[in-house]
Amino acid sequence: MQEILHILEGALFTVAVCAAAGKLILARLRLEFHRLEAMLVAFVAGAACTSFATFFLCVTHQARKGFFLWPGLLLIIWALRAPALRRSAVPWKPIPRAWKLLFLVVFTSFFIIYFLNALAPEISPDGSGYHLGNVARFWKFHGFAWDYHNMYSYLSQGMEMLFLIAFSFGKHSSAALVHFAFQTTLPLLIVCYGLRFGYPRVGVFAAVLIYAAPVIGLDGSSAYNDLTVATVIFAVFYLLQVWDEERNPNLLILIGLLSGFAFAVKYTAVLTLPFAAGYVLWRLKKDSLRPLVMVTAPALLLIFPWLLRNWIWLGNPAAPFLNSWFPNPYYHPGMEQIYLQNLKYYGVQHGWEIPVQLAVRGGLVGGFLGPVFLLAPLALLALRQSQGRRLLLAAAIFAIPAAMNSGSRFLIPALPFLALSMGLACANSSGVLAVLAIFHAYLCWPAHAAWYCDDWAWRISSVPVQAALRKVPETEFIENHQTDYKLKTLIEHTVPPDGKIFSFAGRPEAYFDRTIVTSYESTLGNRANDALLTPVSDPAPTHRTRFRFLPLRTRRVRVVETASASPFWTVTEMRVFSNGTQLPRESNWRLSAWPNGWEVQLAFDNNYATRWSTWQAMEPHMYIAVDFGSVKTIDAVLLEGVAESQAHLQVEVFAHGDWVPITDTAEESDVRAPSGLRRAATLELKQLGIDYLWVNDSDYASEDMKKYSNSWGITLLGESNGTRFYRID
Amino acid sequence: MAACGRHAPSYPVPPQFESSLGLDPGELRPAVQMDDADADRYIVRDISPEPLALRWAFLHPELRLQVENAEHLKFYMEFVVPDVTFRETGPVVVSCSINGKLLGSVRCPHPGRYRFEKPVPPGLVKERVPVTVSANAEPRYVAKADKAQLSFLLAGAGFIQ
Repeated sequence: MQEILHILEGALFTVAVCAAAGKLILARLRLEFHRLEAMLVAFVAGAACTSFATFFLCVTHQARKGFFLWPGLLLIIWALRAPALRRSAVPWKPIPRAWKLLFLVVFTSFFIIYFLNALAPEISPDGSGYHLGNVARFWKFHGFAWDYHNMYSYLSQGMEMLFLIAFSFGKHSSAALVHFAFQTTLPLLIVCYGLRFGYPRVGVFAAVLIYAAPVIGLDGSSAYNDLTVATVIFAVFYLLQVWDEERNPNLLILIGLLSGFAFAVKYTAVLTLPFAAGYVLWRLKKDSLRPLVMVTAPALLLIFPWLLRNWIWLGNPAAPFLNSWFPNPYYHPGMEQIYLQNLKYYGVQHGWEIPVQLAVRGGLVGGFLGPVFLLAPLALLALRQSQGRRLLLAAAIFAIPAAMNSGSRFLIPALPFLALSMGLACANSSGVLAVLAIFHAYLCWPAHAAWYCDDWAWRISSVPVQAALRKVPETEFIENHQTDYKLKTLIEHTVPPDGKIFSFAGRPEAYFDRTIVTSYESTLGNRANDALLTPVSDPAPTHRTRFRFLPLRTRRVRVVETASASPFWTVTEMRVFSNGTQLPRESNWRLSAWPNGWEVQLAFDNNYATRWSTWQAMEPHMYIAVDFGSVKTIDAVLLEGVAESQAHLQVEVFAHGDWVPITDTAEESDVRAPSGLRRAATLELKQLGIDYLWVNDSDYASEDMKKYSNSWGITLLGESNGTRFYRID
Repeated sequence: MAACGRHAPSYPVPPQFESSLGLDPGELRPAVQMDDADADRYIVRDISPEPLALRWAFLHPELRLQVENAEHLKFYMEFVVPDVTFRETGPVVVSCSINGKLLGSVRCPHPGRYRFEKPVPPGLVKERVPVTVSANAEPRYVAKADKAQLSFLLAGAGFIQ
């Protein structure tokens, strides 16, 4: 019981602080709203400010409970004592009684299910993975961990800032409940929209469609951020419509603030600010910069801290993206490309399967929206009305990020607009809206969704009352849903606090108080992954490209790529010869390369399990170079590695202030793979500070590691449900 | 916190990796003792299968081995001419071949333990390519009961540098 109280305390406190901060902002801006919409807008606006303040606590490493509690309490008291907000005089069209009843029944029923799921221990993949993994790390270090490098820690983390406050009281479930608060806010805001703009039935219809959608149900009751993004974006749209009617310039400040917060919560909301600014410019129809500044300035205030953090920390403001524009040693451009390509992949055979997957099946797209969304094309009928055109424009714009990610949850920000448009399109057909809303709620009820969706579709499939009330121990519940959790005790007893564990696959790191280096999440992970796969990969690094030329004296030599092709150019070892003998690598040599010069030493370490790679598609002028420190006589250069037929290389030497091409004629040959590659790979990991391996049976190297653990130099410490945990000896 | 520019700096040569890290699975060593756990993997023919420190070499005993580095190699073979066969055969000459080419021989004028060791001519053995080594004893002991021919008791053989 004590545990539940802490969980609820953390979530309620965070929501209360947000609401209080929002109330003070609305009061300061002298904005007028109806009671319900004032509460909702205040919560969202206050969340933006609370998140912003927490960011600075994280920068200064003062993210401590006391810094949340006391200023938060003062803020709540201040807001309670502040005069009531001004009430809007614009009349609301009342909701018909039957529609009110429909909404209350659907909303209450799903609310209970979502609340119990959010209250239960967090088991969602991303929630227990990086969202709360980051939060747990912030909590451990009282702020940002600057020496921890992982692509997910570079994303904007506006929502994680709110999670952190809740987490400091009630840990993981508290954070999930904060997201649940946004999930609850969104349908209410949609209802308010309908009321304010004269479409109460449409508002209720859209709210039901949104709230009952299975992907929204599970996403919103997990420690994700999609419902926050959707709520904030919808609030921006809502306020733009209010501004359009009232022309209160102070609304623009609020719109800007929320536009910035949308980006701070998730990069995919980057279009919110251009949308808002564009809308304002369009509606003003005059050349005045002032309204634009009123929107843009507060937005940038919330956006810049995240960009600036990444720029200073990583050298890439947009990290973990745009790495080829902002090269850095922390994330490879090629890995970024592979990652983004994987996100786009649907796994369907025909294009028509995509709408069916998104609306009905859900197995290949990480959840589904509900079969009624198959009627989404009806929304085009809303183009007949001005409000419909605006809604559809917003739906189209905020659906753009979904083109880059096949996950159905990336459509969530566009869904409120789509649902409202569908409602508007059918508004004149009496009874259709009600039938569709009831039908949707009925089909999306967790027990009913199982009739038609894929078995493995991401959705709420149970109401874990016992786990939510902690009558089932948290450990038992997590173990049943996150089998990795079974190794928690072993790992935390075996691995020292500063130890690193390598894993090919992502893990629920929020529950492990150790650093897990995942193969695709950092350059460190890429290097470890490369080393471990080299001994079991085909082709092996057995190809030799030798360039012979007449003896010449030079201080610098380089090999330059002259071809353009999609594969990466890689070099396992580069050796320079004189008179048939390899020049010994001397301490005064200087090695360089472009791109990815940070890893050039991997081509000069005599280790066949490591390699320098461009980590981006081959392009002319890429090079790998040696400065001998003094003039040497050389007559051959040898590159060893994996054969790449599309590469075309030439050797150049530095003479008279310029690089002079010497030869592009190469002798190609193959040799046997060197011995001991497995051990070379694991020793490389040790060199990188990684002493443990966590391997799934489905991982590429798993069988080989199981069979030849002696050759790898690894010892099995434990195994559970198809995963094995090894120590590197 | 360290901001980075577009280009990485130049770097010194890193510590050089010691590449002789033992064998990959399935690879052969340059030498084998008959009581090694995996000694059977090295036997091509005519050596008794019992996992003992000394195994009977029959008519044409043959092993396969593999070296990482073929420079300055010496081949050795340790074996025992036992009393029981010596009484029948008298002094024995044991010759060793590598890949079918005779490397040399040793005369065993009395029963006991012997070690044959001789440098390997350059080019006879290649790096990381399995090589067969065989021995031949003259005269051999012929068992009266089953006519089996016994050359000597083999302790081990291999390449050293």
